[in-house]
Amino acid sequence: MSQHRWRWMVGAAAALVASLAWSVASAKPPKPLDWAALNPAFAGATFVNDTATCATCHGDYLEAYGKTKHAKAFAAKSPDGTGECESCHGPRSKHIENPTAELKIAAARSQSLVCAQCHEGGTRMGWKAGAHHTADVSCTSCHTVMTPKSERGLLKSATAAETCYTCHAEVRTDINKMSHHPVREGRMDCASCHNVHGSTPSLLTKATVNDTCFVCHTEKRGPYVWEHAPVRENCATCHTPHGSNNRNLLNAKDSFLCLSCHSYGGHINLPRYNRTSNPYGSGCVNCHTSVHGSNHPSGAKLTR
Amino acid sequence: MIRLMLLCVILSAAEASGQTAPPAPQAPPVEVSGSIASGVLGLDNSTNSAKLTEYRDLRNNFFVPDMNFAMADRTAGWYFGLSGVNVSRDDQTIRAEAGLFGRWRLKAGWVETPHNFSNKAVTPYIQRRPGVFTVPATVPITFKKLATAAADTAGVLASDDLIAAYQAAFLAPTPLAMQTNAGSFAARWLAVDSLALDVVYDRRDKSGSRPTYGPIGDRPPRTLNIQLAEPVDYNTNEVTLAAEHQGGQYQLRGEYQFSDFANQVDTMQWQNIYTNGQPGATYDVWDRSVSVFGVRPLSPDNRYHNLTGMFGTNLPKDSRFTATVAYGILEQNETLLPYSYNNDQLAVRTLPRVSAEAAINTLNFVADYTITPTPRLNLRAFYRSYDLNNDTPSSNWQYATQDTSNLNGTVSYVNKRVSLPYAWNRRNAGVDATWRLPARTSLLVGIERESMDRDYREADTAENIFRATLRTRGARWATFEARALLGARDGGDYHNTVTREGYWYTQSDGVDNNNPALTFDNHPDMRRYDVSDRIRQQFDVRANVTPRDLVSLSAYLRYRHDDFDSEVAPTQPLLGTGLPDQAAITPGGQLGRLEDKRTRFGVDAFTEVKAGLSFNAFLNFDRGTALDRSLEFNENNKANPSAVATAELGPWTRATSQWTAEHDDQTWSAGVGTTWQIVPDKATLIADYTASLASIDINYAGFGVTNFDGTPFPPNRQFAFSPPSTVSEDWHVINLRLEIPVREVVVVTSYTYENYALDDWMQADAAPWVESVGADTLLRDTSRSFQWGNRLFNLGTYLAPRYAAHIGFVGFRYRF
Repeated sequence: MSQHRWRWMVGAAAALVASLAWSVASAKPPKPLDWAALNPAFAGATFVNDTATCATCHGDYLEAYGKTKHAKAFAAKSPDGTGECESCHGPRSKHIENPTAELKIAAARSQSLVCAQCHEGGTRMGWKAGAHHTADVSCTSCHTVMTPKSERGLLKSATAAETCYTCHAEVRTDINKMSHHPVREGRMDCASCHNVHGSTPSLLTKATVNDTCFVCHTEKRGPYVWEHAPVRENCATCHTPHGSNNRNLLNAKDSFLCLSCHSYGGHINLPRYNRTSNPYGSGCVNCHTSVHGSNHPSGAKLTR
Repeated sequence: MIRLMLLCVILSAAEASGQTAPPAPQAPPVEVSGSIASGVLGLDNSTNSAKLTEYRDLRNNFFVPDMNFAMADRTAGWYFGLSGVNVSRDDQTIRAEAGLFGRWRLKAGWVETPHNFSNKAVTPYIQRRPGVFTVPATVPITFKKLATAAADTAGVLASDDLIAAYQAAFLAPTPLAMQTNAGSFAARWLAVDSLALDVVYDRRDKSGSRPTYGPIGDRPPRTLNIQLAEPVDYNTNEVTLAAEHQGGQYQLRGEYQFSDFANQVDTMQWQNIYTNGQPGATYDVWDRSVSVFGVRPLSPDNRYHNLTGMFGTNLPKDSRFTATVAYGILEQNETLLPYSYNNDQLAVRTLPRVSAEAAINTLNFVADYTITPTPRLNLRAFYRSYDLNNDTPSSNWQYATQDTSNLNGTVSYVNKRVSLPYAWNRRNAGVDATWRLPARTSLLVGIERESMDRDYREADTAENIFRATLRTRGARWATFEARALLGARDGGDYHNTVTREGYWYTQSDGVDNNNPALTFDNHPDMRRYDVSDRIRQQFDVRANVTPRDLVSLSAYLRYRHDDFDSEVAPTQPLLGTGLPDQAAITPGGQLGRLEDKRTRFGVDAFTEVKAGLSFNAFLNFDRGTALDRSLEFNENNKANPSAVATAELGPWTRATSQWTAEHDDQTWSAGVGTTWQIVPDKATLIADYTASLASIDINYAGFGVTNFDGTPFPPNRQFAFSPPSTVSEDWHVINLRLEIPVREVVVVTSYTYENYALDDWMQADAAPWVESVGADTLLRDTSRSFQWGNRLFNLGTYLAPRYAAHIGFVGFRYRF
């Protein structure tokens, strides 16, 4: 990397560290959640701050809850002032006086605010601007806090894929197609490519499709002496990542994909041209093997 | 009195003895729990098809399907967990995690993924050392000519028979599979309550081989092509450092990532099985110099740096602002190969530079703002900017065609090529508003504009996108959602002559058909669909009902239509050139992808009939249709189309040389399942059936079915193409699992039946246009022409064929 770029990156990193240091030094304590804004019935309620009181009526939930990470974390350090249960369920003094369902937090966006008391940073920093939050998907749409049903992530189903299929059933059809990423084999899951808590286009883990694909397919990152322009722009120009009935996750059948953009003449314009083996093998890629880009001096036509 | 005193003593003694009674047992300070399942798997794969084990390691063996172990001290707050799936197999996953709540956390993971392409691939090649492939003998071709003519037919056909005989003698099985092992280690330290530091290390190793091709020879029709097993030996190391500060109402995060990809095999070199050069020579003399080896660089080593800063803050009125800035650098600088393996035969051998010097930098900026100004209104505004700048130098190169050269070593002017640094930037900006209406209903309306500028591409594009979503929950047990998206993309002026920048000869170098600076590269009526105009319409409807606690039903429908009509009109691309045919005019019918539609619908159902008995089912349908058009013309007559006005391979002006292809891609996917406690807490049966039935039809019409004058082509005609047979792929899986607790363990038995059937004309060795010679490892066009290019020496057709497999497992699970 050139010296100029090194200087730029070191300078930017220094600025970032300085910002962090200043922020830490000047940080104020977190502002408590306004429970009355989530549900007016909370107005005037205070925190009981005693799990045993909750257990007298809701003890049947606690056995399964005890196996969750929340329970283990709170056992070590209970939230200050609110106690374990009320840190999520809100001040329950009125509920003890009159046990009704009035103090439910029904609205999806309000539910998310509860979880955001602790889970607002990292990959969830962009949650409020993301497609899920905009579509009124709340944390409890996918997660179940009281019962561990999945190995990781406190999901509502046993796996991430099954959780996502609840709303995105069409993706399950794609995953079952001939050419697919190994999701149904358990080698990866939806979160391998998607940051479901974020706000990037298509909720990808990175800013672009290509940056996301390059996390695993680093051999295609290049850059190359000879670039294939649509490849450098967007892998989805040719591939459909959830699954395809065409080989290699292609959008169309071998030669026909290439023919939708190339019409130089001669063998380039027909699915069958007897000088080449277009309609068998891998079609155009039989010869144009370096279709993602070439590093050969004579690689202009991506044949080497 | 004495009795009273004695009674008091006795009572006191009783109370004292009660106080000193053994205390009630306390919960152990450290909780330990876990389970382990182990057993034996038996497999019967009828055809030994690699498709069954494409991403799985299935074989007769003892293994641990799953295990987990957890320890935690609730008082001290530390924990440790270990879990594994398919332990000891090549598709295993191992995860470990340890930490102290609120202070630090360590995570480690190891994921192995096989990727099997074939169990039946065959090749004559032997890898002598990494990336170098030789053969024990070459094909005894006596007919050494690449620039063949009709009179050479007998010689080329005789060569086909020699190749078939060679294959029968020298083909041997070769592995064709890759293995990816990915390890990760992450550490998080909460230095203080408001500052977290993260270090992540990822390592990914990919090894094995995958199918590729090694063409040698001039461009078609003179290509000597062979399918090969490309060696794969990749290592990727990544380090990510991050620091995140949680303030009162804001978060600030900085992250640096470095990724290094290394390919342990830089080049692939394969012996040309058709040549017999003099010992030590780099070439064999045919009617040109033909290299005795083909050489090609493999994926180059590369490095990636990324520095990201993220900020998010909560503001009044339930509003939030987030921003992200990220700067990235991609670079690779591999030493370049010579123009050709027989470089010593070339008149021009010096490269414009000796290494790639390839570098790209990216700058990403995102800002989002959401606010709830009134309880019933939510607004969101966003801006995204992504710049990809290509700093790779542009140089003038010689395209030495395919490791052959003219006997005088020259390269024609048309093969003077310029490497172009493609770059682009994209801007997105938009707002949307959500109104909370009565009756638990909400309405979202949004607009967005996306613009993309590109270097060295035909068009810059700008798109306006409109979105609307209506959601309602009319009753507690019913939700309904309808969405619409409309996008109008404008490709502006389409500059199909931009490809001239990829050549470094001047117009005066050649006033002929091969000079795109004089004529054109792609047909002027072609519009590349990724940069063309586009009207996009997408509609979604989704409903969910839960009439009773243990019954749920959901359904969805999606329709999307992309129309790429770009209002193409006839043009005269030669106008002003002074050529005799400068008035020639294109037909004006748009070529390329014209439209794309996709329809999906599905139903999901779940019910718990009674305690211990539940059913679930799903049915999905997916149909994609697309329409392509192109026009066949002779590329050797771009400057003088009238010279081929009545030829079969004719002029670019002739509308009757057009062809169309309508693609119809359908998939039915369905499944049913049940969980049944046959005997409550004693025996549980879990059963499910899944099916995926897919088909692809291509309705091909126009040139290829008939000649330009409507005369039908016989099937073995050199350009004849007709609607191919339906591609069909059917996959059925039945899973049965029975679990019976016996004291401390649960006995687990399972049985799986999988059936997979595939028919694909592109993988077949027989079709109207293709036949095999001797075996399916040598394919040629049914025209049996005199040209080498239509032969394909391959690893075998249907590399992962159909199968019927039985998989059984017997084992036990122990929980503690």
